[in-house]
Amino acid sequence: MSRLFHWTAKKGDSAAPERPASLITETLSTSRALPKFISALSHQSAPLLLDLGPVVGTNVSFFGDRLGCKMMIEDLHEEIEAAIRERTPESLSGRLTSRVSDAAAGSVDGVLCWDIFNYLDRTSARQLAASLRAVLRPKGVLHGLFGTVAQSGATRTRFIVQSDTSVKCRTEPWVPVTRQAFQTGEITRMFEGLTVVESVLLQNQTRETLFRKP
Amino acid sequence: MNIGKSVIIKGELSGSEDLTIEGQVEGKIELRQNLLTIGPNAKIKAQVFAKTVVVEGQVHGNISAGERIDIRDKGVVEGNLAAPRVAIADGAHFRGSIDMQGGGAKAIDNAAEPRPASTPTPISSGPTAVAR
Repeated sequence: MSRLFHWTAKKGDSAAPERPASLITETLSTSRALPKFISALSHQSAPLLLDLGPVVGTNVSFFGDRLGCKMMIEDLHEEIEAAIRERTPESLSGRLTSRVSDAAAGSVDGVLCWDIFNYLDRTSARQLAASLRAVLRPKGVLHGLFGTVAQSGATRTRFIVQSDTSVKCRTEPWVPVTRQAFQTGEITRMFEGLTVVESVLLQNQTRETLFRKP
Repeated sequence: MNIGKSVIIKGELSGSEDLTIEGQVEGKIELRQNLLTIGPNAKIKAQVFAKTVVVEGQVHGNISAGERIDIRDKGVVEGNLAAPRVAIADGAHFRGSIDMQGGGAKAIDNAAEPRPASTPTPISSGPTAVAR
């Protein structure tokens, strides 16, 4: 996995780099899967939503207002960043599954899995997918956003929901890291056992996929 | 009412007026009908119950609010939130769960023990401070 990371950051380095506004770019994408994700959850009373990315206040407000849901925030970017800074890529898989397993098996109605898998090697990605499958309850849904372009850089993407059908993609400075790009079929196989409800390539080269647990 | 930077309270803090904390509190804070502001210098390891909670400093522990929880851009919260409305600013750090099912008041009444995202330091059985 070490090839995934650029080891320019030293152990004990301070937190994320400064974020000059000029390095932050934003694009707006139209989502086809998000309305279905929301619809699937809106039929339930007080659904439990698991968000795997850094907390975004706008998303918390949106899903809270829209679904009256309970949200669990398990920021896996924290673990990825820590593994990079500590130069312990072998620990990453355990860190991620540990965070996800804070939710009881079969307890989660919806998962937001945005900009996570691109920073993982295949083994970690498969293990994380298995953990997510386990925490989903039957009929539960997972909304995934997967980058389709492999690239090196020091950025990550935050997705900010604007409405049922539009998502703002904000690229912002992060730790130096290489982004993997998994083939669509490979992603589907990782989540074997879940049904693909929708899979579409967004204009910003992000693959949007909605999975449902039978 | 203000609790200054140099003040350390271990135990239970309750009252019936708005309160701003800049110091350290370990234990429990209860302002059922009032606004609690956790200032930029504050370090809280406590279960927090209030009508409205504004977090600009650090909180390790669960927060329940009857109306609203507002985590500002430098705010740090590790614990679970329960309130009808929750606002988290860009730049804030949060780890835990958020319950917005109008559950803030309910959670206060039930005084349940929501699962903390990280285990807070055991509460000292120090003196009780009551702000009135």
